[in-house]
Amino acid sequence: MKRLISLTTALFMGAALSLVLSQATRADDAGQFLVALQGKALTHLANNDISEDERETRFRALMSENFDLDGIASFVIGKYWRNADEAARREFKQIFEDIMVQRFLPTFNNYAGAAFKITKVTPKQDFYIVFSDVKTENGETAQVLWRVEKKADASFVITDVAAEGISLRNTYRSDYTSALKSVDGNLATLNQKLREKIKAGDFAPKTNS
Amino acid sequence: MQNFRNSGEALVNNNKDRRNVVGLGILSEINSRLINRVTALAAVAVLVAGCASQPNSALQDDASSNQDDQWAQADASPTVEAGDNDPIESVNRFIFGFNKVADTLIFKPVAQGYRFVVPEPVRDVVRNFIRNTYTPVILANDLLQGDIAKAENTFARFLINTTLGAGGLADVADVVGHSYVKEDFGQTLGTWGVSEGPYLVLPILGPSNVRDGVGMIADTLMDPLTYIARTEVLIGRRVADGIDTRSRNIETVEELERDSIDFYARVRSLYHQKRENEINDGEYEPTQAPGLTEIFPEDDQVSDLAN
Repeated sequence: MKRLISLTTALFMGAALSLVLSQATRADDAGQFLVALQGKALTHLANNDISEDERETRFRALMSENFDLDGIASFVIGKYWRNADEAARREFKQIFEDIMVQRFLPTFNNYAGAAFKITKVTPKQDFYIVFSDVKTENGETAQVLWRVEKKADASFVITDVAAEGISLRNTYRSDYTSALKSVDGNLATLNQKLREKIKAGDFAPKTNS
Repeated sequence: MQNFRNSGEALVNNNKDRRNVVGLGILSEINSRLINRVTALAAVAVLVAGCASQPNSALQDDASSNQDDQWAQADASPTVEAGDNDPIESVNRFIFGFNKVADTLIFKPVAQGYRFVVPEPVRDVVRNFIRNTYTPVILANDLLQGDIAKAENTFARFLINTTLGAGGLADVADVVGHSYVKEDFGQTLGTWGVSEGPYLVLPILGPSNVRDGVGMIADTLMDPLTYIARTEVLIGRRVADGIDTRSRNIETVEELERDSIDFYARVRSLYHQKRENEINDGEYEPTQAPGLTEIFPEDDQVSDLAN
């Protein structure tokens, strides 16, 4: 009996250990995914020989491949997503991608070569939180958190980014759901407004004076 | 009965005499001011406790009840719209609008002028000096949060900057690794687990919530300068602090406004997120106070909403 118990204990501990180990490797993978992504971004984008158009095309490709843009787009629309018709949804996804490109392509040019260090990876039930330190232009270190999910095909995808505690999708969500509330949840109206803002270049960060 | 009244009168007279001895001076003045303020604080604290115990989701359900009900029920997990904790939105929006007008007409031009006229090193001196005067408040909050390391940092900063930094004019401490960390009583309450209460936009002072509003009053009470310095000096410090902060945020605020559809909602969300981050001291997990929401909550699945 005693033997049986110790055998069970050993088995159980073995199982627990392998679970912990496999979780650790998977967590490592999530961090590695981001490191690899930065490397990829550097080789694809931080190249002075390519035209601005080409840079934008590559940035767009890299972004739609590694960010769950559709998921984030539906998230920021919140409860209004369900009532929106398919055409408006599709249009918003496209618009949202344009917004992200206009907003982050210029920023990326500044940060591409920035020192980027993964400090910790925390596995959660359905996703990983990857902690990173990024050196900003003025030499200060900012903490950036990445919400990384594993897709069905075992590759990773970024579902949110938070810099200094400010989450990208939460911030957009509060803005857009509030705007939608004032137009009775009509996504097409919001699309129209956003299109105008994209045209005016409103999402592009101003260069610092 | 007669005796009782006599002894009461004697006590009053006695008190009067004592006051006269101090010359109706500073001490009693401070005491009465303090008592008034503490009473006010206690009253507000009771209000907060009442508000804080009201669950968030109830407020949200209320706010969105005229919208599509079936989705409100399904999606109103407290974390999802935690930034929306705003039962008096119309009042807040009105004050927000007022503040924006005041900013356009007064604060922004003044801040721009200040930035244009005064060179950066001098502006830094002004900021350093103001920050140094807030040391007692920050130190008290460090201690109330039980954060000895931060208290040490604050105290070291004060010693270094007051001596080597010529009375706080230069931030020498920052150079030797003691960087400035602001702590206020709103944050302290947050670390104690007090939830933020409804969102408030204060006239001129801007975005806040009930917890942080109470914190602001408590910080004033904790500040020795409140009792020593003249009112004009205190107001002057506030104004200078405000102008300095505004002058450092001109582009950021412009950008924020351009890039949002509903500027009010954007600011509300940013304020909420920024405060939570400050309460956590930028740590995502370790000592998370009970009232806080997580940046990336577990039950917040994109896929649930997608179809």
